[in-house]
Amino acid sequence: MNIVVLVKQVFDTEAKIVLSSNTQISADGVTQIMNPYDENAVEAALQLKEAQGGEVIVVSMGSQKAVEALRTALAMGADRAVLVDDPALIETDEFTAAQVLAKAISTQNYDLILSGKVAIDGQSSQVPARIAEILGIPHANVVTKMEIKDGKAEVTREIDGGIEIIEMPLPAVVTAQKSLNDPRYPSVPGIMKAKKKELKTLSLADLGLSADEVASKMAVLEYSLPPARQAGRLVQGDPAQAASELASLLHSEAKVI
Amino acid sequence: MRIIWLVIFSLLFISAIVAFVVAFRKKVAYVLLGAPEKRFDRIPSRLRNFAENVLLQKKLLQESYGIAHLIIFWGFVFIVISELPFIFDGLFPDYSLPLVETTAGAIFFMIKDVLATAVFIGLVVALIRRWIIKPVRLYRTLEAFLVVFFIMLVIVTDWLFVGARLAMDPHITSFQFSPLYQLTGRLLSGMETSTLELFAQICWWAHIGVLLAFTVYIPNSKHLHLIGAPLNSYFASLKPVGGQIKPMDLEDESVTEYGISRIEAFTWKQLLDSFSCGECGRCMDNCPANLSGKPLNPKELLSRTLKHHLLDKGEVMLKYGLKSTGEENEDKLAEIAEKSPEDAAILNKNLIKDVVTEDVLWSCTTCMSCQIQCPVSNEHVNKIVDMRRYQAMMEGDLSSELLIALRNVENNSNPWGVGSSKREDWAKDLNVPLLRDAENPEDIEYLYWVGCAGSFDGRSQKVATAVVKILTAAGVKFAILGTEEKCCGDFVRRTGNEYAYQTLVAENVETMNAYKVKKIVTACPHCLNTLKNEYPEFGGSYEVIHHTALINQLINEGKLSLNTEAAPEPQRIAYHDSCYLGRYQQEYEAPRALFNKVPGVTLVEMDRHHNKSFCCGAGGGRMWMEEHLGERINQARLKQALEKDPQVIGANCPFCMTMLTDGIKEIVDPEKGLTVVDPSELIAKMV
Repeated sequence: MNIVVLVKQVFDTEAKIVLSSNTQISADGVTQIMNPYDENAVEAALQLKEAQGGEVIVVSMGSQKAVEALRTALAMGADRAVLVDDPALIETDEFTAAQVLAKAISTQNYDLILSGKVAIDGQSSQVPARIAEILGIPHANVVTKMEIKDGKAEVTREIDGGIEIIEMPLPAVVTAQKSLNDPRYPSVPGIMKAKKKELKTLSLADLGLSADEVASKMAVLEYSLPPARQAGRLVQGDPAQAASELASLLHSEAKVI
Repeated sequence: MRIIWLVIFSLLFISAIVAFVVAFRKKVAYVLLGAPEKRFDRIPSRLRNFAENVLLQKKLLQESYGIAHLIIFWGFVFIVISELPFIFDGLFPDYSLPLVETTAGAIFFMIKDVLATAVFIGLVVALIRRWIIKPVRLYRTLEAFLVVFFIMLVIVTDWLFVGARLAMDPHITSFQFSPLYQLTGRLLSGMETSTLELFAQICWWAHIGVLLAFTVYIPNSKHLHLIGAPLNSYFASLKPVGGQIKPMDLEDESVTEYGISRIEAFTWKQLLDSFSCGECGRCMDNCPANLSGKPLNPKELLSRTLKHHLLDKGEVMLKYGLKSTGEENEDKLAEIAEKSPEDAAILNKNLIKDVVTEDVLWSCTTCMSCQIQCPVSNEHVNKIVDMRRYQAMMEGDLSSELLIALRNVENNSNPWGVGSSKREDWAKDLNVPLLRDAENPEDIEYLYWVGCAGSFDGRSQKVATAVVKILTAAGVKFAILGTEEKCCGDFVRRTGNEYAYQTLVAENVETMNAYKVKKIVTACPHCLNTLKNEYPEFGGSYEVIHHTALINQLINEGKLSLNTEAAPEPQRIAYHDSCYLGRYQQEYEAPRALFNKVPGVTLVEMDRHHNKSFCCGAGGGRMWMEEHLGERINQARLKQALEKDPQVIGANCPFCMTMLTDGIKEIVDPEKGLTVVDPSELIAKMV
């Protein structure tokens, strides 16, 4: 059972977002981490490997910064890593990411592709589904339970107001919800071994792709930060009067009623 | 000369010595299974420890009944010395050893006689305490009884033997000043000489019998304490209380195992601890985990759990000539498993889980009370940290809450997980100088190390604000690191995550050394301890002072004047010594002095104070873990404070503050308005 896990290096959830220009978010001094849902995907892959054998290959697209996420996955127990890093891939959209990653995955021998259900930076949740489409294989997202046997995957996914259990043939793409498992804490020997595991960096040319054929379909026109949160206001005084004042404030200022 | 006596005595004596040596050598071999550790340096300091804790029994005397042990100890020394003339008297009745029949000899026997009497009384007190008063901390075992009983028999048979001799000849020079011998002599006088002769002979042989039996019993029982304790006092750690956790060489690639999961991986000194324990129970009487109903009992851990496992496993290891049951001996272990599954079962027992449960390991708050109270210099906390290291670094087996705190430190350099970019936000409106803005950082006298609590915890931010106000008023040149400061690593290390700890230390040391930081003031005793006592191992040597000590110093030097008009309302404050400032740094006075400088403050002591202060429950990473077992330690401590009916609880540590404040929310009527304050907050009102 060979498993490819897609991981992405993202801003920490507590990172302070600063715009360096209208169309660019500054990464200066920002702590970056492996996308938390991807950790669940790595954990699921490792558990499958421990139960059924095989190889876990972590794949990412990004700058050299993404090496940290890959090393973390290797420290958790993945066997080797592939990073696609190319100057042409600095500002991309989901189309590009899916094209590039699908190509990188297709050079591997795989039975299952795992990833987090969403990357907490872009929040589009598109890439895994697009990859499934490109590779022509089934896809299930927001998975909370997964069982693999006899070349099939039985997965439980979260849907609005309930759950859905589906079965699909392998290979397939599955994206992990938080409740799928508890990602392990890398052991120190794991961290030490990870330093020596294979981490291959590929360029677009290495994948036989040209910048043009994977060029973004989408251009960001502008980013803007949400308005700063205002301090709360306490409406004081006689209850009846305060209530009517509150109601009028909610109507005229907050415009919620 | 009594040839037959001599022959029988010699045979008995040699057998006893052989039995002693056989048993003793085995114990030595078990201890030597341990890993090497350098404890042979600084001989004068070691001799001083030996003199203080063995000869003078300083630690034992911290509790009143320690006097009984002091008497038994010195009486025993004299009894042992007097065995030589005693044996000689029996074997060669017509001769005497030099000096014995002189005034000097008589004085020696007088001291010995008085001490032996005192020992006897001491033993009676011991028996009454153990079997009638029955304190929880003393185990009523046959072993404990036999030890007392043997010594009593040794004394009684000696009294009767000498008494019988004095009854026959009241003028023996050596016993002329010995009151108890003389008394027994008078009591026995009037009997027939031949009866006395026979009686003396019986007593002599009874004495020899007991003595030799006792000799054999020592290495086979907890009474090995007699040999272990003096050695342990000599080899005691000479490092500061807060600097005794062994740094690990994480660069060494030959190391494949981090932390300890096999008993023989402990150092010989750590193993010796178990044989030094006299089972006095001072540790368990002061252990917050034990007293709050958690499974950790420091005495049980050392004197039972670890010791019994070492005895079992050590025997099997020696049988097969194994020095370790680690990976390198995998083949040999497999071989043994085939030959003898029972032996293999003992060898393959996991120290963690099979011997010491995880609940025991994680109950410790590293409050250090066990070690501070221990009269034989045992080091309990290191062992727990060593085993936690295995759980953390090899198994990654940590509670989910602790994992969150660790990840938060990893990603945002603080356990709360607030964005690291917000670290200096608390100081925004306070005009606090930042080290990175200083034109010449070397002009800054003090780095104010705010710590994660001061930076992110609302309550501690108030203390940080008070500290800033005071330092500014006193004209101290100080600055903070702001976003350049990272978690000090205290709880990271004490939960066994040495790798993550050393990463944090390296980053902090690099930052501070770049600014040529020399002096640090901090309001967090946990930061204080690791910065002061642990960072030097990693290239960070600074003079570190707690804010209460610095403020006290500033006031005493006249650099800070207090406006007594602005003093707060009169209040009764129960002061709580934090472990990391109190026991760890032996700083008990500065916070008290500050409180006492505030007019209207009446300071009251809780029953457990100074070095017997009771932990708030947050140390050793417990701050970041749920407390599922037993009573909540913070509530236990709070109840101790409530006994003194305070209006305010005085604290000096952000963790204590949080724990005690939580306790108040949990069990105290809000109408009472009970609060927790740091002395700097009261002082700040007066500047």
